[in-house]
Amino acid sequence: MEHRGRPETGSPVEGVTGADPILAELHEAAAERHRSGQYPAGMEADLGDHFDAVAARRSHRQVRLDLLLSSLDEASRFDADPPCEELARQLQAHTRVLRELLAELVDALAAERADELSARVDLLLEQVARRGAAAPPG
Amino acid sequence: MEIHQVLVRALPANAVTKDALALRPLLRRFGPSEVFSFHRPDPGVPDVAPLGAYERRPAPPSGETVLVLHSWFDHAGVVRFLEGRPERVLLRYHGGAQPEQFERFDPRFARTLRAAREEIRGLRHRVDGVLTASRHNADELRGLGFERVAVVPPVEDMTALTAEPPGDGSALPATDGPVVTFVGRLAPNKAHELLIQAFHVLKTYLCPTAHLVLAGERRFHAVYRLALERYVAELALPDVHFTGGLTNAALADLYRRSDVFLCMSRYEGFCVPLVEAMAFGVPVVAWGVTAVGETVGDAGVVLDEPRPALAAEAVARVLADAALRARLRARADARLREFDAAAVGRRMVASIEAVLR
Repeated sequence: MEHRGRPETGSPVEGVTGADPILAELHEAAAERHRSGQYPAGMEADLGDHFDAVAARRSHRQVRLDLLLSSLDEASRFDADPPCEELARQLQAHTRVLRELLAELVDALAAERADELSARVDLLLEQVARRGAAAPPG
Repeated sequence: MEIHQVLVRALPANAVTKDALALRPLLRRFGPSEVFSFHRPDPGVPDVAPLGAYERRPAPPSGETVLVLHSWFDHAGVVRFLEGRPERVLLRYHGGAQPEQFERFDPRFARTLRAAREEIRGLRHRVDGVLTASRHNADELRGLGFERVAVVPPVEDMTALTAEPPGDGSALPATDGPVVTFVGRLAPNKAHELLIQAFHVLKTYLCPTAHLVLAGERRFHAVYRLALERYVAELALPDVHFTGGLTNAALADLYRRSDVFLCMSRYEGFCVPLVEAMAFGVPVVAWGVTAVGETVGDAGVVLDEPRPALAAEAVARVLADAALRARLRARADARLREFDAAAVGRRMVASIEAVLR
């Protein structure tokens, strides 16, 4: 069977007692489509390579932004004793909005289109302003 | 005896949180039982208290206290909490995705997973026993040096989901052909790109009217999500739909509209959606790695390779072959009886008694 892509690795199929006979039929049907030319040569490998290429298309800035977002997540775990619980709650609420804003900014930057970015930033700022207005008094 | 549960995080629509809430009534057979969360519980999760409340609760009048710790992606805080405490501890292990699968999309999360594995390993002399959801997870833990490992699947009451009344469908895309579905958060271990590749082959060569609906939380692993969205756009597949997380009502609607459930995950510790699909009579096609083959058993088409052409062939066959669908549905009914909540609950109680003996 034609398949030039990197094979995925994984543990053997578990929990199945005896291979289902349908599996052999499915393998044969797929192989026949390859042999007959219904599927273009290298189709599966090309699909895998295409995704790898898409996944690799990330700037250093995006990687750095991802790391900073993860740092913010880690730093946002406020566990407080009873006297400080209310403050921790407010901090957590604030950080949640901030994190959401930053995550959207990261996505917007990844879109790499200035007009779209500008529109999304405006929208986000409006959303944050609305949330701020609706937040209960601290 | 009091048996309380400790979550690292309590989140809505989260399998670990749901497992803890489903266990609570069973644990109350032993005595008082509550669920506590190390991080502040999400407001969407009722009846879970912060862990500070556990320490402030009145001392039990007599008898022993046991804590059931549910595994998560990071346990450092809970491990510190357990240090020097007198309670016996049971570990409810939900599996741990392989860090390598996250490395290129979320390297920091990959590091967290590596640390989590070491944190779990460090607990092997602290816990009295382990309850895992699958034999695959049990083998994983035995490999880390754990003993007294019992396998009990999640206590999921599928009738609650199947009884959800039909919704207005507003959370779901409009579809005008066969619907292929997967349910699971957008994360590299769920291998959404393999689902998209299989769908590309299906749509292009075998079933031009098909739709692929990918339901699941998309807040995490933003780089992976962006790559998937870009990939779908470049493959020109407008009939791939990302719905985000769904309410139970919308999830039930999705299953009712689904013609095939396709799972190409590289790692699953159990995969509750496989059982949910069976409960709705949706035929399952799945790559049988990690715990997936074990969960599906003979009630689905279990693939031995994650090849797009093979998966597409299997989906097309299920769509075209009514006799195969009927056979799978009959096997799924039998499989569902093994996951019946009452029966699993009895197994759970017996396993806890055996581990604590």
